Amino acid sequence: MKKHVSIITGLVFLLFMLACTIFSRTIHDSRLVKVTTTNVRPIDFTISFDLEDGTNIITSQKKLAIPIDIVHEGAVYLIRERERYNEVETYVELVYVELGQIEGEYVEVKQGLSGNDKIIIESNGQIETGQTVLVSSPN
Amino acid sequence: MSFHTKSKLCLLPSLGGILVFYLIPYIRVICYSLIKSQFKKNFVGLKNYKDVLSNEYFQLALKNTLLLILVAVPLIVVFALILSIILVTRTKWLHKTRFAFVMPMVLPAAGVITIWKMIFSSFDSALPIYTLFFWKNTGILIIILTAALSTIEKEVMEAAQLDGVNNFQKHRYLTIPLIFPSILFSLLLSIVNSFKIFRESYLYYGNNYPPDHSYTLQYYMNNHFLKLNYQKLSVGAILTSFIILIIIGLGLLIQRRFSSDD
Amino acid sequence: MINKKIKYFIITACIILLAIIFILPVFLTIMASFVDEEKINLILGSNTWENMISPAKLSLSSYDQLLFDFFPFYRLFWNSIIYSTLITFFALLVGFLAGFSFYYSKYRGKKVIYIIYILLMMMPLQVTILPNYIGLREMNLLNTPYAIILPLVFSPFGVVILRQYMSGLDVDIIEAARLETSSIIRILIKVVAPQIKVCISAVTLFIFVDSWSIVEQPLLLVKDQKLKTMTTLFSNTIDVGMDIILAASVIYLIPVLILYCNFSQHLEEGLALGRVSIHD
Repeated sequence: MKKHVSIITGLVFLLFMLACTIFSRTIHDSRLVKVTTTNVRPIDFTISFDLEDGTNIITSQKKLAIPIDIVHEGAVYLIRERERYNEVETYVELVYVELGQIEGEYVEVKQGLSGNDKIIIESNGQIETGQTVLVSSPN
Repeated sequence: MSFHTKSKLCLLPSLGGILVFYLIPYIRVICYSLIKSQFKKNFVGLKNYKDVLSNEYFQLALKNTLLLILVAVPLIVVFALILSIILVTRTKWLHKTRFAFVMPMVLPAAGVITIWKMIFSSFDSALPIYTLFFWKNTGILIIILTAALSTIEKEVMEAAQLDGVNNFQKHRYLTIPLIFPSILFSLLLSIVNSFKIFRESYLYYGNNYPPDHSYTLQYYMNNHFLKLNYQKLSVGAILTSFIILIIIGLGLLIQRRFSSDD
Repeated sequence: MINKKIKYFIITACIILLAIIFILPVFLTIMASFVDEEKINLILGSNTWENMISPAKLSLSSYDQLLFDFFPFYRLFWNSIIYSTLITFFALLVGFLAGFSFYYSKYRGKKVIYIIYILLMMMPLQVTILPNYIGLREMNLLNTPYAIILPLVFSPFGVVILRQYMSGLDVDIIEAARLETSSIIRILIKVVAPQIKVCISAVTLFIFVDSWSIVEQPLLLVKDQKLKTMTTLFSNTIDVGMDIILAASVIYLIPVLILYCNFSQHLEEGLALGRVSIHD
């Protein structure tokens, strides 16, 4: 009898660990807030400036821009990568930006972001700085 | 192929493995300890040995190891002996407590090191290691000694009781001489175990250098291993083997003398 | 009369107290793993007694962290399991064959070889790990799973212990069996093994536990993180949180506890038998 008890307990334990091994990642990911991101990209901005002699020149210039509606109180959320337990994971960082000209849906970013940054445009839950998130549809 | 030949061949896998992974490399180790360095293979005789023996770290390590052997081993054997005597002469259900004493023997220390660290963090001596040694190795000694004690004829004990000998004398003059071989074996086993306690000590102090009071021979060798300092390492290994051989030799001598006394 | 009873009572109480103290570390580790994060951080902050004894909420947060966050754990866990199972199986095989050879065959130098085995068995790990390392290096097996498995498979321990147990074998039965078949394998399986069944379980348990708790070999013989075992987790506490370590400790202890609780009887019998015959 006792031998059977130990074999059964042992098997149950191993099956449990096997299940954990298989499903741990899915469970882990299901708990993460999912975000969609977009790149900071150069957009054509129309600029007009007056010359000395009164003529007005309208030209366009590429500047880094982001969609207006994601800026809250002068800041945007970015995603960055870090290494944890020998794996790469993405986390959130709040960055303050200096804004400039508006062109349609986009606003110029004077300071705070670079062309490589990915900003969060949507998330299915609350996010804060340092939190690990899952990027579901990278742009 | 005759049966006899086949049974001789059975030794082959084990012997092969032992030769490849233990014996032949051991000879290499002896060679390493006698040359200057891995790059300049001049034979320098016993110079490495002189260097190591005069190294203060080695001496510290040796001191701590010997201290452990001379202090902890007799204590644990006495402790186990007292416990065994009590367990053997009491009622049946007290036997069940053996389960508790033997458990630490099979438990991997790594699992309980965390708690040990929490409890003993404020003690600044080799106490945590000594207690780990007691905790882990009392079990096997109790098994050995209770097995030996239970072979003593009950009549002999009762005869002594009738003669008016009190408990302490009874044990001192009767029981102990009767199970002397087992006591000797327990001492020997504990000495071997005192070397093995290094693993727990290593887990306890982590990768850092342990404090001076716990720096034993194994740490000395381990550190050289990490630095791949083959010469010092080989010397350390050979010296440790020597120490063990001497201890075993002493044990055998004592056993011979004792059994010739009968 | 009363004096004797009191003495008896005191001694019994002491023994029980000692037994509890011996089990305490295991018990505490298990308890500590089910405690919530706050408590653990509190203890980490200051190791005072009040902090340790104060009641804490039961929670599975440590296990949550370990199982669903600390992914490297699974690699370590299954490595330990696979190593231990393989080592136990093959060490038994090799040891059984060699033990029988020592027992049955007669040839010159047998005693010498046997003594060498015993001496090797007594050497501490630090002495044997260097030859192991060199042997593995020569065969180019460093940093492979074989680095951990092979030296332990060929460890002299199994051979010596099994040989000791075989001294209780009945030679006549073997001789009788030899008349019926000349296949040594069949004789070993049908005749020799059943006679020392209890001892085989004891040795299996021992070898399994021994290989489950190796620390030096995974640390020194393999560099690849993917080949390491759970024990390496416990020697670098700095990198991982205390709650993960505690939960991992419990999971690490479970297989051994299961085996011990069910086979302790066998173990004690086996060890006791072995000791008696060593004195011949």
